[in-house]
Amino acid sequence: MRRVKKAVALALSCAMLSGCGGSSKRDTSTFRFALAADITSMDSTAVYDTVSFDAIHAVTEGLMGLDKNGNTTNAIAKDYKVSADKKTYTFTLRDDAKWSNGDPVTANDFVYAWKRIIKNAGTYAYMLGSTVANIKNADALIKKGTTATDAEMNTLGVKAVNDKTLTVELNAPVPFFADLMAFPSFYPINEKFAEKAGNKYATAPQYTLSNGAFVMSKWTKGKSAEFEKNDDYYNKGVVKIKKLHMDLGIKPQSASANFDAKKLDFAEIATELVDKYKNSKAFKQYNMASTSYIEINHKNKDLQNANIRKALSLAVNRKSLCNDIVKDGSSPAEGFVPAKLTQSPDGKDFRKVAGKYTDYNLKEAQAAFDQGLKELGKKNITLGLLYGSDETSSDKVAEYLETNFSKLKGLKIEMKATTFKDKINNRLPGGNFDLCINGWGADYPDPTTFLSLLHKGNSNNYGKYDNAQFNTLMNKVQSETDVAKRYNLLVDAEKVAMQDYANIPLLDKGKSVLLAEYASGLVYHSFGVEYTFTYVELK
Amino acid sequence: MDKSMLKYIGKRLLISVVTLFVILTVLFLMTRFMPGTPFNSEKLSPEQLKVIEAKYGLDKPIPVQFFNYLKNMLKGDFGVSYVLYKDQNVSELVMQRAKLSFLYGISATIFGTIIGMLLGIVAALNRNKIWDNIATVISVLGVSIPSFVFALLLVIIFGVNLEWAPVMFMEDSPISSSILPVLALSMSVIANVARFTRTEMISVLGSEYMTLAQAKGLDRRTLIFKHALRNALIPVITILGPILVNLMTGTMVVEQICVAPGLGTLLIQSIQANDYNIVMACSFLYAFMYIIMMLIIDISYGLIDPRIRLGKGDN
Repeated sequence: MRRVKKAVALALSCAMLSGCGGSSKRDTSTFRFALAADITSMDSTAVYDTVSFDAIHAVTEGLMGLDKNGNTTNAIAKDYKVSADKKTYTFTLRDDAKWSNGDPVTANDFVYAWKRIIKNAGTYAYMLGSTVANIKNADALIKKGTTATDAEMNTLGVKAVNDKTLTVELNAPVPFFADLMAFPSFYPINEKFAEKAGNKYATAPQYTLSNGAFVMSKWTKGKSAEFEKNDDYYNKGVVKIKKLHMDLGIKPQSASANFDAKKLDFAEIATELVDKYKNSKAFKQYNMASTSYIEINHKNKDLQNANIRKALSLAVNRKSLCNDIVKDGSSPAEGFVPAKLTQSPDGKDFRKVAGKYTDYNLKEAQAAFDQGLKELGKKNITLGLLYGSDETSSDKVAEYLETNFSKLKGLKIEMKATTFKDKINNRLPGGNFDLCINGWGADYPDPTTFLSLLHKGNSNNYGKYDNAQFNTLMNKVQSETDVAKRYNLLVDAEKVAMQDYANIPLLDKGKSVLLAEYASGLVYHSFGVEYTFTYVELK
Repeated sequence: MDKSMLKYIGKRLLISVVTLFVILTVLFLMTRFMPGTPFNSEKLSPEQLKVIEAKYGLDKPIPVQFFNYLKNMLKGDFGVSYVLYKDQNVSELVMQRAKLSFLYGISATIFGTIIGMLLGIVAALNRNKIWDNIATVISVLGVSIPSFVFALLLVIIFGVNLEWAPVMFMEDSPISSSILPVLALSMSVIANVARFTRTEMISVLGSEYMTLAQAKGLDRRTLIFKHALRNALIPVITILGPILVNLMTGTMVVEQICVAPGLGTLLIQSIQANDYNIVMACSFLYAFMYIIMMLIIDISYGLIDPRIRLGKGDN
């Protein structure tokens, strides 16, 4: 019996010791990072979520890349030329860019990948289409998807002139085309390798190839992924860490607990935890280039009245909404296009140039509302406020808006909670709402990523906003080749929409994270890929 | 094996197959009627959505989709993931995750059975004494408190406060990170087995052959371990099947609390994401295990007790 006792005691103490884990000396070669979801695939033509983009970005470089400050810089392309009509781009590829299997990175790798995203019916195929990169024939091919034949695919406006020269033909000039080349949807894929792996391509480290700073060495689905420094990377000198460890599918609460236990160097945290950490040196907030706004149904008779829309916008106390309710680093939205998204040709932020269209003034709000009611010939109106209760903070935002709106005499708000899925699949496209809390994140650094949502005919123009002046300006934007003139057109277009209260911008969304004090060089981007790990350093 | 037994097994098999088919049909229809689609991205235009649906055959009428699904399933192809693991083979994904869940289930059953038996024996031997009362209290708690509450308690006490075990699954220490979930899961096993063992032991201890053995002058140890326990355990073994199956479903929530990458976590995520094929494959696996377990239990009961296989309808 005594022997048994001893064995039990030994077993228990072993279990406890192994439970403690962790070494006393901190490892400065591995950056440990946590994200709330898993990687869905390492195939840049299949994915559409930021976690996968982050992981793919860690192992792959496109024609253009991102520097230490998050600015677009040459990567696989050592140089590029733009034709006089700004519709043809010729990229010259570096000679020393290699895949991790030793193959050189060639122009065909890009041609193959760009065709593949269309053939694959990838979600982000639209990045090639007329709303974004506007590559020749892309729209027609995207509509065909998997049914497009090889001959048809060859009509896509991208050609490998030789191994190191790639030309891209556009339907119209796209001022931000070079920036787009840093986005994963435009990354290259090694055709030989991908075709050999077949449907296993990019599903595990051995079926994933790298031409970037890291190579994927391990991926335990639902748990974690590991990346090691790529010794074949042409720019390996800038990579200071040896390993990148990503904990995947970790809820913010667990992530912050692990950060406190020094098991992580980086964690994203939820609103509820902001108060706990806001005085910590590790606490950081990022601007997400994403706007939260109230979509207005312009088919609703009451909401067709501009004074009613104006009253609603003036009744929202955005400052308090940011500081007391969401608390995640969001700031009051001043217009539909968020701050820090794009710069004007002379280097000013779009918001600085375009100005501020939101204000909180209850007195004016009531005056506008009374005027609106008078014009409508009504004593009071009832409006439904739709929101997806499973979206982050949206319950709290909706409740707060209800209290704001209830201060307008003569307005009754009906709260309509639903799920995000129902909201975007049924309610919004079906026009089955009056007011709806919605959000939009930028895919590329241009105001059109937001403003086109108000353009007539856009499938995301759920409120069916239709303003002739705005539509004319947006049409002009599409054909304008002069960068400065185009920029002014965009500023004017936003002005028209905002002064008409086409929608009610609420917040420029923010994100709160914990980043260890000894870590530096992690680059955050507000659109496209979120994090660049290439320059991370641990002291 | 006599004819009636074969007939009985055949009938049970047939019922199992029919049940599985019904489950599959209901599951298929339910996934298709879930609100939303697997492609919940506002960035997709209606035309692009059509192209994507065509790629996965989701543009076809539901009966055609179902027929295709069955046809592929019989070949062992459960389709690809639409959302969570874009375009990856579902059967591989599910089997990878199922390993951990099975491991938790089996470990909890073994651990729970051993502890439960010991507890039951101690209780039976000390009937109506303090040990018996303690064992009864543990059993009642184990039966009435769900495993996820235990999991939460264990995580808070041993994971967060005492820091004796990891609060979540760590790959570099799989054994220590499995302690809390396995403990949590085994509570109901301990409770059930202890109660059952106690009752059986008491009835065996009171039987005439035990009095005889005692009269023969056997020592207490031989008496208990060789004669009483052996006879008491036979009925206990029969409840292990259902316990194991119940554990499989219990792991689902416990995995969530202990942040373990098992089948349950995958199933819950896939339901949230409308990832039809993963929902189908996970639920099918659960249903399949349950039915197989029930089949084995039915057949073994049939073997043990002829009255069952010769029941009404077979005559």
